[in-house]
Amino acid sequence: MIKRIVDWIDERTHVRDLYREQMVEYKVPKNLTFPYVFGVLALITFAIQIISGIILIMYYKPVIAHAFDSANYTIMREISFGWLFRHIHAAGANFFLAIVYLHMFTGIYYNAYKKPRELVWIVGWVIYFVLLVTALTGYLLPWGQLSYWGTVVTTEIPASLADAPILKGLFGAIGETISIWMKGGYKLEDLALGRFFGLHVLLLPLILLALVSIHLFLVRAAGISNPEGYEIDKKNEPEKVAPFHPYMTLKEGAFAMWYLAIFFFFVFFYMHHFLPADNFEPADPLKTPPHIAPEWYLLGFYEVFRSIPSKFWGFVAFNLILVLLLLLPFLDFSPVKSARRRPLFFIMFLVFLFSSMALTVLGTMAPTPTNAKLGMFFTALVFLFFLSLPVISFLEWGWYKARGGRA
Amino acid sequence: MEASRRDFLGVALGGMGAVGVLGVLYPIVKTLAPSAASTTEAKVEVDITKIPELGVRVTSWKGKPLFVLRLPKDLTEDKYNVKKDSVNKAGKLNYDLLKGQEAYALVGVCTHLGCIPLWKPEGSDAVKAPYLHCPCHGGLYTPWGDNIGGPPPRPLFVPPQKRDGNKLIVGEPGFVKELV
Repeated sequence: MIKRIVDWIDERTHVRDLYREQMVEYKVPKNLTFPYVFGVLALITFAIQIISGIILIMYYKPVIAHAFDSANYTIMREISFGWLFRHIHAAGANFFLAIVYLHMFTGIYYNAYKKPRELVWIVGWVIYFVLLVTALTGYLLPWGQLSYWGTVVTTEIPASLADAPILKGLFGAIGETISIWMKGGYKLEDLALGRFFGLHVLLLPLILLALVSIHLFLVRAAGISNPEGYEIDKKNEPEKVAPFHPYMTLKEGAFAMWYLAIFFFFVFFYMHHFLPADNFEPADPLKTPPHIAPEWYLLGFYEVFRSIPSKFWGFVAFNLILVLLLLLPFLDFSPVKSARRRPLFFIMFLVFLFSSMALTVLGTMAPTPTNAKLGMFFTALVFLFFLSLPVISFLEWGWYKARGGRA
Repeated sequence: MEASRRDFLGVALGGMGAVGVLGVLYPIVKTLAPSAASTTEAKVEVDITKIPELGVRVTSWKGKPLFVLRLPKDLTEDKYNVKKDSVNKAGKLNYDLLKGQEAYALVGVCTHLGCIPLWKPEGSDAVKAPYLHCPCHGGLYTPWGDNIGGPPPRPLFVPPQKRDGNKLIVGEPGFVKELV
């Protein structure tokens, strides 16, 4: 019976051909390593966020008089399993960014941003940026103390442009305009909550959906990169590739199961990491909570921002890091790919990795003078990573030519 | 047909998948279930000593008006000209279910077009005893909700209810087992 229904559909749509072409005849390198799984895990987390978000949106009320109660009473107590979907959504946001960071470091390590995959990296960067905005807008919605004051601080950050060494008036006006337009006024009130809500539940997810589709299409178009850094000729080197299905689907499926097990372990047993107690107190515009810091996924940028003595240069520095990340395919123009074959790049990759981690850890600590000095030191190392890329590329071009154009 | 190792793995994986899908769907479907607030509304407790004889307490049950009536012991349905063929879901007159109860509850919604009947404890020229009168199209009911006259096609609905001391508990099966 089922076979006849599929036959009927297949006659009209040729879905079986599509499946064969896209799943079985689509070949991927045999030697893909574990970190290549992070892309699929990010996709799974995205699906989890959309499903749990649809359930939450049915009961959440984006009005400041009701927002806190709808999140903490209606959803957490009144709706059957409402608590589960809020837990999933809150943990999912953290896992999503964690997986995306791992995915980005993987891409950097294997140089997956190089020709012919520059667009994959650029679209991926835009996904990362939109994801950060989605996380920030969603953070305000429960209307707790941390939500409120976290957003107050975030919307104040553009105002640091007023500290510019030149054109103070112009920069100050730009910063204040951005800050006011984010909030829809001078105070963080219903207008801000309404637009954050609209962005978080409709516009940003649609943009993410479109970008993720483009990202996947580009991956298919350019082919998956290879841990060894060689481009595989699928026609002439059939021994180096394997069908996507069943080899990759089963391998990634198994890793996905492990991932979900860890994810739900946190959802059921360790939620206080993702729903801190401070945020179960309604927002009070007249009382700042004693400790206020951004979520962990922004701590690196936050530490860069606050350890540099000038607010203006702090602002410029963390935005510059974002821009340099975007320009990575052009900073690193070496013909050689993958850190496995690039000892100099590998060292600088480690510098970048550990500096990012150190900045994140410093972001959790009190801003003492020593910590600020350490913060500046690691900020300098992050910039050193980006600046070393053209130098390394230049050297590698020389070696590449000396070896007669072979990598 | 011999079952191979591959068949076993297929069934085992498929079974695991089915369990997983059920595990995901169960909480999703459950979020759409009636909320805790609406289910507490499905049970109403009324202290009948607070209601005077021939009095009515109007409250709500599952979002509908609920009449809790208290009648003198000597009032019987013999005084009314009841339409005997107009019966409830149990195939009986409401009176057969409720007689002998000094207090009981009725769903206060006219079975004609959903208006809320008025309680006339003094009776009138036409009905010389307490009765319920629907103001919309003149439906007439006995105090037990049986039809006397007018357009209503069936007696008033009677919710499940039981007596517990001085309390009448509506929403739990007792002398009336289910909504009829």
